[in-house]
Amino acid sequence: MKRLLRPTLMVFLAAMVVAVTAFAILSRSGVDARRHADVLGTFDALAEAETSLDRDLLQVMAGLLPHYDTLVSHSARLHSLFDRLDAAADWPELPLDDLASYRTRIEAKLAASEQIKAAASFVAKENAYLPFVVAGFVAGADRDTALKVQQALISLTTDGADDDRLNAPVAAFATSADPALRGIGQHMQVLREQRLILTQAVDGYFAINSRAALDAARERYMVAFGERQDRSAVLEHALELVAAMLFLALGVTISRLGHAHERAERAHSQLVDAVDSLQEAFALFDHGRRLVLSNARYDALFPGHGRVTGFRTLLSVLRTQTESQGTTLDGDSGTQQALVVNPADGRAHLFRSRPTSDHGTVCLFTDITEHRQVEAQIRKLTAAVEQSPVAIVITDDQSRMEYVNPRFLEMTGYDLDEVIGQNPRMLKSGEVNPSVYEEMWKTISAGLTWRGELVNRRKNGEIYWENATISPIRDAAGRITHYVALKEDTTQHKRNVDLLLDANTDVERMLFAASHDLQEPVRLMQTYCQKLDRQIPTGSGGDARESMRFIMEAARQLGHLISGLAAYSRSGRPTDAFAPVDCSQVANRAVAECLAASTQVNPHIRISPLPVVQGDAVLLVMLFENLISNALKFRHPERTPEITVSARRDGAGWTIDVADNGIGIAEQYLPTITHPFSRLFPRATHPGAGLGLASCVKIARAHGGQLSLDSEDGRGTVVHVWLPAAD
Amino acid sequence: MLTPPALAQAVPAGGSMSARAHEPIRPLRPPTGLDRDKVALGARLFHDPLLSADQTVSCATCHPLAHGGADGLPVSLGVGGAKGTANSPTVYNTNLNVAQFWDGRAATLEEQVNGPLTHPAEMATSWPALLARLEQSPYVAEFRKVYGADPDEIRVRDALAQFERSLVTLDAPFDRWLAGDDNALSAEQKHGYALFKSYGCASCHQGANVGGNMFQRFGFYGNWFADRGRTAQGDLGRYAVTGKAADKYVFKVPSLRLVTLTAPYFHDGSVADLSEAIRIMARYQLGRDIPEGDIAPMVAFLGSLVDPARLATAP
Repeated sequence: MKRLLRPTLMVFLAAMVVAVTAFAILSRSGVDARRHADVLGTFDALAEAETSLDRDLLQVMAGLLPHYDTLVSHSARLHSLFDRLDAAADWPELPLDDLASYRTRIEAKLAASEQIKAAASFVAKENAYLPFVVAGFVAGADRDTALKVQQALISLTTDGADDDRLNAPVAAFATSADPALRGIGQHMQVLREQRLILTQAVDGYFAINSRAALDAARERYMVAFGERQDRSAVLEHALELVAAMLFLALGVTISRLGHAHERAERAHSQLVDAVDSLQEAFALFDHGRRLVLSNARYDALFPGHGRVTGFRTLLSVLRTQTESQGTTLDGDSGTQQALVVNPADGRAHLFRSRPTSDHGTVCLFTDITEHRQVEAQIRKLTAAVEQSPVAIVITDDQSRMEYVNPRFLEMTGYDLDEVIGQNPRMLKSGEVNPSVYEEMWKTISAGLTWRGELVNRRKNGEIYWENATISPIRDAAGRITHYVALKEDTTQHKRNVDLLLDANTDVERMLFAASHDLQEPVRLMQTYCQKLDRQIPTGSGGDARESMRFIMEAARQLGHLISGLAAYSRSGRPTDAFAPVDCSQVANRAVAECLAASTQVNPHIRISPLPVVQGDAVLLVMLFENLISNALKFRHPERTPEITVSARRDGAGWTIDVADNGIGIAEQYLPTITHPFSRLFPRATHPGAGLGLASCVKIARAHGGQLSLDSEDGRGTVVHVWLPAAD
Repeated sequence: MLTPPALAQAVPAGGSMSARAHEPIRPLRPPTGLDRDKVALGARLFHDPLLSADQTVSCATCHPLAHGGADGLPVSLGVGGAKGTANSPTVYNTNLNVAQFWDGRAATLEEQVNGPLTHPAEMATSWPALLARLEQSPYVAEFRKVYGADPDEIRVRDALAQFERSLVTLDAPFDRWLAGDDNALSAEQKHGYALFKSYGCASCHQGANVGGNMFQRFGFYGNWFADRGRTAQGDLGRYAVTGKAADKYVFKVPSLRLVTLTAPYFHDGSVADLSEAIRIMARYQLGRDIPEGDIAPMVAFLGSLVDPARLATAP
């Protein structure tokens, strides 16, 4: 706009200058025309006055003019005309030298005219007087003298005044003794003298060629004026041309200005649209720090303040919302950056202002509320990953490691810069069957998660086992961009398990051998005791018989122990043969076994419908058999035993309750009651190996379940067995 | 503009008048083209002694308007009683003169102002001194009003000349006779006029001003200056202006319009009596002696050229 305005102004000023100049020239030519008319009029008047003077002088000489007043007025007229030319002498076109020469001639003519006037008046007077005097003289004079006087008079009054032949007679008359003749002679002498003066003056007067001088002056003036006119005309035409061109230029410029204005308006509306469509709140302040442009987001930015229209006001509002991070808002500088949080809605904005090229200020508010939340989330996740006890590796789709966490470095013994960008195969130990990797790649390439065990090698060459979970990471388009691997070092665990398994195998083998091999001597003892009893006659050997009975009793107890140990060892057998087991059948079989072995009063046993669980039927029968036989064994002496078996859904499995109305368990014994060989009562009253509940706990655990007890001393016990559901 | 005023005047003078249109003497006409304010300002200046060096002498001192415009002395008395060198002519009808002063040394009335103003025997001042006096006077305001400017040499001359152009002695008995009033002149006056013409006086004393419109030599027949036995500085006349021998003893022919009111006569005021002046003129100019009986009618005729009663009321 400015670029266009300047030439417009220049053209306009130039047009004004031209117009003023043209006006000055035109008005000057108006003055010129008046002066020109004045000068020409003066020239004409001079010629006319001079002609009048000539004419009147001719009349004077002819004796036709009775007075000289007109001559005086002509003379005055000529002088006043010369005064007028003098007043115009500054006009360059006037030929001053020609006019001066003309004036000299006119002055000479006027001087001659004065001589003519004086001489003519004298001559006229004498011409009237002399004939009258001569007539009087002739009447009384002698003929000869009279004739001479008359002849002289005739010559004088005609054209013979300068005739030399008159010299002698007139001189004679003037010196005559006759006073009358002497008077006539004197008059004649003076008349001749004045006539001579008159003739000379007239000749001199008409010899002055003043008219030629006037014509020359006029001619030169006309030429000079014509040249001046030509110059003015050329200048005027040039000015007209320039003015026309300037107005044309002005028109073009104005039209261009109009177009530029339209373009600017269009650009402005586009700017407004663009600013409105910004994600950021936008405000533009001019050099006076007043708001010139903003979008709706900005206008709604400070609900409590309305639309903030001053940059300083904006800064003072922002100062109340500034967070300490970022640059603080100092002074009223145009360059600012700060994080502001609106206390009203808690939204956070990054405020930035920059000076514009024309000393304005542009302000942007970027809403970073979500960004900040995401950032916090990421920080938490990052911390989790960094501090994870599991090693984490993230690779790109080309299996180059992009990220590893500290646990990984600890696990492998490498430094960070040794692994970033490397392929995880650097860890390969060669101990893993290549088919494992093949399967792994097949799985993760298909977008699935692979879990498995790998054997890798640390930097120091040590072999280690790891449990790895590798998952692909997909982008929004579903393409795999990264893989993430979670690795757990299982080397130690694996060693422990191996050791434990070895130990277990030994124990079980030992237990089996012991229970099997020990049963034989016990049976021998019992067999030989019965043999002895049969060999001792009936009714004798009371003491021996008594001793025999004690031995028999001890052997039976020993047999119990040995079979309990065998059962306990069997309860921990490998559990890889789980199948769906109907607990109702299992419970009924267990009850039947117990009742067959028991010689007690008929107990009341009620079995509610029980669920199907995943498990080992033999072990589960053993579990229920133990629990029911315990309930019968520890029955209350004064009550008929009542046993209830029921089940209820509990989370991912079932809780099966076996409740009795027995003697119960004192609270202090509850924590240890499930340990092996734990017994509360004397063997005599309650025979058993003390391995029943321990076996039950072991069986429950082998099924992934657990066992707990609730009991009230003297009232009864409830055993809760939780087993995972089969489905 | 193209028609000179002189020509405009010449037309009625030339033809449309009665039989008396061809008389050598013509009636005076009211002045034209004057500025009333400038005339009034000139009148004040004319009567103001401020114009002289010691502020004792005004123009009117030597040219009292009520007394024919001349002071009646042979030569005027200027500042401090200084005697001038020439007889004061009347200021009436001076615009009709071919030039001003006896020797015609001033072509215009404007030029004439210079003479008496700076002459040591007259007002004896100078333009700078006079303008300084005017600057201190109420004239400043008046010049500003009339001319739109402070007084200067040109404006003071103009005001005085304008006033003098207004001094015209109108409506004399002879003018009324010229206009056709036969009773305006007495028989003696008519007889005197006839004699005036027939002696040839009217060959020089003609025109509206009865003289003043030409120069003429004093003494065609005899030398009056020699005859009276003394000569003076002013006797050479126009020779002092032109330096030509032919202009010795040549003077401006004086107007006879107020001749009966402006004794003494001639350029030096040396003749107190009009009859004597007529006799001298007849002898030295006409070359003849006029009978005593013809002098009285001519004096009577000359008296008809002005109406003294109108002079006091002249503007």
